[in-house]
Amino acid sequence: MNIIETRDLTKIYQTGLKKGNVVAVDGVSLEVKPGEVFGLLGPNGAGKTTFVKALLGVTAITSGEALINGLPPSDPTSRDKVGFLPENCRFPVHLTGLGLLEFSGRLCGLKQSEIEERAVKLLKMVDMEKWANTKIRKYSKGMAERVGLAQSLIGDPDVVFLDEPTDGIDPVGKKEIREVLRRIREQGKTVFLNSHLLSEVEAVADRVAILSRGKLVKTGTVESLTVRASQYEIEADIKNERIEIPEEIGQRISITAKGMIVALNNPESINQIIDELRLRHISIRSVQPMRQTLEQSFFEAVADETEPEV
Amino acid sequence: MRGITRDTVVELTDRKFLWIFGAITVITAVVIFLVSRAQISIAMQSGGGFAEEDMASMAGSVLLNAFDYFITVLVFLVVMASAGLIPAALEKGRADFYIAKPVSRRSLLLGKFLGIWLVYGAALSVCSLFVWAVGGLAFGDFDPGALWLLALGLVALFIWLSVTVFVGVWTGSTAMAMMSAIILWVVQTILGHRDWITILTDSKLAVTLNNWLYYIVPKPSAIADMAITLAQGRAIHDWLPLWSSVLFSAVVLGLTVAVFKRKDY
Repeated sequence: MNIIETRDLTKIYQTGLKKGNVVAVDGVSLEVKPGEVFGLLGPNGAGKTTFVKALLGVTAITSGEALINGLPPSDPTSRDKVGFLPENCRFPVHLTGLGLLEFSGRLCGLKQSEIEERAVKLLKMVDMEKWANTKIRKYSKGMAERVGLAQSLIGDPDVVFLDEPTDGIDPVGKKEIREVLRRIREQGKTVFLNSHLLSEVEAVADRVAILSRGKLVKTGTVESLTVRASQYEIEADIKNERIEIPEEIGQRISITAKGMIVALNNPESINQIIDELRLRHISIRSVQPMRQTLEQSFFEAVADETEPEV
Repeated sequence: MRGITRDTVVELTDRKFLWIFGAITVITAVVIFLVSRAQISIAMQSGGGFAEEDMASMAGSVLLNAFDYFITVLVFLVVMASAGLIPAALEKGRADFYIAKPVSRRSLLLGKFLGIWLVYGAALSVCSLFVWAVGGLAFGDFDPGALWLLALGLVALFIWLSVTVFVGVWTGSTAMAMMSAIILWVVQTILGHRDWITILTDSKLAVTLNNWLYYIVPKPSAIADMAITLAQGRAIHDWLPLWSSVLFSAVVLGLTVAVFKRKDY
């Protein structure tokens, strides 16, 4: 069973008569399996936060369906085993870090003894035990995010939604949050990571979806999104050999210091290239599909969706 | 719901506003004490010109009015001070945090409302009982009837809060919530003089509208008058201002929950 599932999820904001309606999320269907780290990417205003809010019942769904643990967001029990760190979180500043965890625990319906036990462990995990009794109003942004992460885990959730958890955080803070994410992942929890920071997602996510103007434009594993389907890098001692590739097979893109890069019409044609090189007694060290960064894949996907401005 | 109520209690007790309550209470207690000294002085100078019953009646009246004003001021301060609590809780980044918890929106809202009423109601009660005790000691008359003012003051507080919480949820604005309290005060004051309006106009429509509005709009001032009547040991002939106001608050609270359930954050 999928832990998160949406079918044609659509959210339209009614903004007034003159401005018309804004389609924030447009027919998004996706599935997240238990234990996955799932990254939702998209430029600012793509609809990522709205999508998460719709899943958590913070904003109402216009049409389509959303399920968490098989339950719709309108049912508060769907969030029994869900943790959430909102974007630009503004936690009640009258609380201390420990107080925030206790409050969150109470809202999750935990007993006081459970709360105390978990709060101590979680504050240690996010390296905030020294500041447990300091008021949140005195925390830096990074400290607030870390204690926010801890509060999202107090109910021992199966799935944790993190909305831009490293936004506005300095590099040291980002590194610390990545470390916490690694620990959450080790505990086998599902993580739904919402971010426009591609390197963050690439570093931790198993699968990624790209959202642009409310629409889902690409989804898959990080590997599948970063492979250029038709291009291969062949490491071989080509030197001054003149290798011609018939048009019906593909073309040679470039000669590099290590060998050459070819673009093929059909992936199976790589065998013909290898045969040709072997016939010429050229030593082949490796043949690898060409990869692009997630960033390149992201820009390609988003560019396809971008309409010219009028 | 207990979780959010408890947090509201922690939030409000953390605020410096309760010190203002304390300061007003101490000032009122001192004034009552000074007035009692002045009364004794007048009695002595008059050389027995006033009958003992007259003095006692005058003292009781002064004390009751002082107590009434004291509670009215505290209720007004609470309404103004608490108007921003709901809009603050529903601002971006904080509303998501609350709503994404496995708690229904109804419980969140009513828990918050209850927390506000409990904390400020408790503060109002403690301060009022202190002033009542000081008055009793100073004038030598512990009139339990005066506590009607406190009891109905708590009801009035509930009514005011239901209005400001509704506007706070609906508009998300502290200023609008404050303004709604002021508008309600003006309207209910005007409606309090509905007999005059009936005399001043010939329009049947105006009279009917006036009467209907009187039944619908809550009437904290009329409730305060009822409290004075009860405190003076007189009978109440018409309980309408009380029950219709409480009914209004219950309906408004239900409406607030409905609005809150439909809102996107």
